[in-house]
Amino acid sequence: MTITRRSALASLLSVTLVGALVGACGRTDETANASSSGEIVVGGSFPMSGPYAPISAVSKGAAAYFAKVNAEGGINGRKIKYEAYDDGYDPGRAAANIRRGVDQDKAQAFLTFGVPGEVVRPYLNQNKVFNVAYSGSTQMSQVDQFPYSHAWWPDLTAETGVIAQYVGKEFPAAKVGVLTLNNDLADAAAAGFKAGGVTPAVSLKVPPSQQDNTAQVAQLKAAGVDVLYLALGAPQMVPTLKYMAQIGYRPKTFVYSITINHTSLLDPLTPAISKGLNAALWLDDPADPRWANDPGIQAYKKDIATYGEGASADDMLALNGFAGAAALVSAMKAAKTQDADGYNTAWNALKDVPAPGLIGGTLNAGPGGRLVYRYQVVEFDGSSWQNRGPVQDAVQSGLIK
Amino acid sequence: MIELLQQVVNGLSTGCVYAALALAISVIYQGAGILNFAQGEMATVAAYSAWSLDALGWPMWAALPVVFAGAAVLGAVIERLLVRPVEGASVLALVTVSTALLLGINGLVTVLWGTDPHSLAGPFGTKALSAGEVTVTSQQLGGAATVLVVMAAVGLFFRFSDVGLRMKAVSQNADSAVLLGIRPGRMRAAGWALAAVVGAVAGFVAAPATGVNPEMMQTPLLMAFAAAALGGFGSRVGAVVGGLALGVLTALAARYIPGLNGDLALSVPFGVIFLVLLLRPHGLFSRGSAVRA
Amino acid sequence: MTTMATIPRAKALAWAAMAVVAIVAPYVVDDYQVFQLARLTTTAMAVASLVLLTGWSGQVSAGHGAFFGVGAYAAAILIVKAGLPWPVAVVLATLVSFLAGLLAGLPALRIRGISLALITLVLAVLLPPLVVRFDGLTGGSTGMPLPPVRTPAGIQLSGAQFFYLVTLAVLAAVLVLLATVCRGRTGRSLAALRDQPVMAATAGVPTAKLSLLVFGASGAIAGLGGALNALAIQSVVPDSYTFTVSLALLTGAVVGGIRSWAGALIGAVFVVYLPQVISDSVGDSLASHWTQVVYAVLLLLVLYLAPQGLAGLGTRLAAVRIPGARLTSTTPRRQS
Repeated sequence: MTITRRSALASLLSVTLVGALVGACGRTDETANASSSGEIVVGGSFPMSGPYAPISAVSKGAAAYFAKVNAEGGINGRKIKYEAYDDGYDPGRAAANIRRGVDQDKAQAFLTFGVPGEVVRPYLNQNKVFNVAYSGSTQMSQVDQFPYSHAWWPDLTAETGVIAQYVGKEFPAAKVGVLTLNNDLADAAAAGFKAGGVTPAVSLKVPPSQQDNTAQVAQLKAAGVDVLYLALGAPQMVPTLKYMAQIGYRPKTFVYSITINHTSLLDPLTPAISKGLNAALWLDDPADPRWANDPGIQAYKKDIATYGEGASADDMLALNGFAGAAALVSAMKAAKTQDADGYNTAWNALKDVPAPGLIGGTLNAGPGGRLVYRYQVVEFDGSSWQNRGPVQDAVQSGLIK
Repeated sequence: MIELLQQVVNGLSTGCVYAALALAISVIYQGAGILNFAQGEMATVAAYSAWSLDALGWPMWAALPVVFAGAAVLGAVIERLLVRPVEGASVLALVTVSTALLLGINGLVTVLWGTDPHSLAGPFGTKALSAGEVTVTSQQLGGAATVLVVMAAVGLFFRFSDVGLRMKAVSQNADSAVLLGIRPGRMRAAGWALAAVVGAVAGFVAAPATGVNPEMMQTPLLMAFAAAALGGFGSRVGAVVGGLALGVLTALAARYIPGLNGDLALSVPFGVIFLVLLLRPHGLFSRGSAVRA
Repeated sequence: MTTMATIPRAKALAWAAMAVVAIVAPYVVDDYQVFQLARLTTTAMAVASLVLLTGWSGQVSAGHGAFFGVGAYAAAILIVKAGLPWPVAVVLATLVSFLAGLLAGLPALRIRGISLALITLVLAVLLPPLVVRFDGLTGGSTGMPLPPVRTPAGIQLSGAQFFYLVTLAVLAAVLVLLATVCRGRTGRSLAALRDQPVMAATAGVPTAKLSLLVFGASGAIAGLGGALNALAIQSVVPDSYTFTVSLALLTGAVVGGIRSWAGALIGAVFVVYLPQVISDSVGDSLASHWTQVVYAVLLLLVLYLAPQGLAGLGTRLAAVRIPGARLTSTTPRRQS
């Protein structure tokens, strides 16, 4: 007797269909995760391996803040359980992590990062899970469409907008150039410069995999660009700036704030090149001596040393994750119910809430469901960032509506 | 006009990296029939090693011989231990082994050195030379000179040295080579060692422009494959010419083809290769057999 | 006679057992695991398309992630921008992928082996920047969300369960179709095309037409998998279709068994589950860099211990248990 593969597969097909139609012991789609006692589960999906692995410092910073809250007695006596998974920046794996967090861990809130975080937003909202996204994408402001998803990072458009306004005021005759990755950094730079009233003479885009940007620098130099906004991947920033210095091309350069890091950006550049670099910061640089005596930064350093799982306190990304977790905890503490709706209402009502390491010191809910709008334009003097002008509020200056 | 010259100079400088990596790929392909996806990662290991020695305070001129010797040993060890077990397997199995090596070495690099990007100035200083408005850095010049020297050395090695001739004999006809008393296994290991050194040169020449990070050789690897295909996998000269041509083509395409910009500039060199392969399936410099089974 | 029938019967029993597990599974495990199964079935289609193209017709594609992406984007655009129901969009996306496969197959008329692998790799490298560039249509670098597939009224299943069963049915249909086609004359022609292309042409096999059609069919199946995969994940983004996905699909096909339909399933398990399983078992985030190393070591071990793929290993073990059993034409032969 020979059972052919064909007939076996044919039976598989038919049984599947029957199974689907009968649905003998199926289930319906579930509703929100909520709990009134026990632990509060917060999930996370971050790239911990692969090219974006340095971002895992964000997750470690957040974990440190949650551990500190637990050590201080938790949220109204309830401990936070933080379960973060590696997605390797693969949206498919992020989608799996999110389902694992929602279906298995019963997470009530979820931390996400970047593009994979945008991919999982619909699912989190369908399942009513509160979502804090570490993302500067303008699209993460769509709270009308995805009410439970809130971006922790300010809209990147605000950062380039603040820079554009500063450039327009200080260097009105400048020829402005933009060199960015070909992702939402490029879109945000275009929108931000437009909102800030400056039209770049040259806008260049490169893929994230491109490491050698000498051709782009030659083009900017030949075009006579004397004010440059540079938003490349962290590994490309140093070689590009070094090459510019070597060929004697020194435009007024503004760097993308997320790439700022003493160990991997400013130190390798040496003061000869880093001196005169500019940025618009929304977060303190924890490695900068100017904030060494700031109580928020001091507390942060202590907590990272105790709970940081080996993360470096000097890493601005760790502070970034730490402060984002602080914002979530503020909303949780203020929430009337420990569920997505409770967190959502509380988050949207946050006003003048202090947060560690933030420019301007406090969080205020505003347009797009975000909390951070204030920037400080700074210039590096070789060892420390010096203020250039007052703190700018992107809402007040009309950049974010 | 001046910018055009500057773009050609920068393109050639980038192309030197592609050329060296393509040469390494072609050496292994000729010797062992493997398209080595891990060549870029082996170069990355070399660049990181140079960075480590530099950070320990070694002078570059002392560090480099150590790095190159280490690369040779690494190449031979990889061949002996990891590739040997699948020797003679299908092309596909060999490609998969080299892909596994790519993933494994890339992972080991992050385990050993972390993911923080580093930068490496190299031994050529940080001066700039100007001819009129065209500027060349000492790193670009030194890198190009190094690559040229290495290419010449590889050419001489295969033409005149005893080992080089034996390696050629094995790649042309392993069975007859055995009859002549040559041990093909050793020659293949030697080929991997040589390729690893040439690849290490690529990594070390690329480092000033790309920085030292786990992904530094990803694009160069793709471009080196393309260069080897353009020149013909069987031709070392072709690989080198292909690499230089692709460097220049990409730089010029990004700058001068309207609407292309840096993100789609790759489509031009790839399009050229596409056409070349359609017209000459064995590349520009390679004499392929009339019929390939 | 009895010995000859033994292996097909053992195989059929294995398939039947697998089918039962696949059908029962969604009722037993939670929606997260069901979602993972849907990723598995859809990825298996892409791996199976490589088994057809590379294993059967001998044309190496190192860029099959491109077709996976084309299918996904075609379906997404048809659903989001044209407002089509998802089943219609999936069928049309399969057609689009078929055409893309035909186009990509044109160079294969002249180029084989490694050069062809490179040309296909180029397609995979260029897809993400192209998608980003046409952001009006594709949503750019942040992609497009897709509406979830709802369970039709009257069926007591969660969305995840329903959609998984749909993908399982489609996968079964694809595998039955492929196995049937590759058994008959077409299969022999494909083998001839792979092993003796010149001889095949002289013997009257329409090599050019066949070669193109196989490329088209392979593209269509990969695209079908991509479209369903996008519906499962509920989004399309360029980051899902980088060229490393293509390499993962190819390694999956080789590890599973490049000429085996069961191998396509094993290969998909490798691609979908292994990274996460390793990630979970190597421990906390500090150790996550080891994930890739362990994955590579496992790949190498499989290639050393089972150069014909894990499915081939199963067949060989069966052969060891049953002395005298002849391995018939289903046994993969070594490639030249």
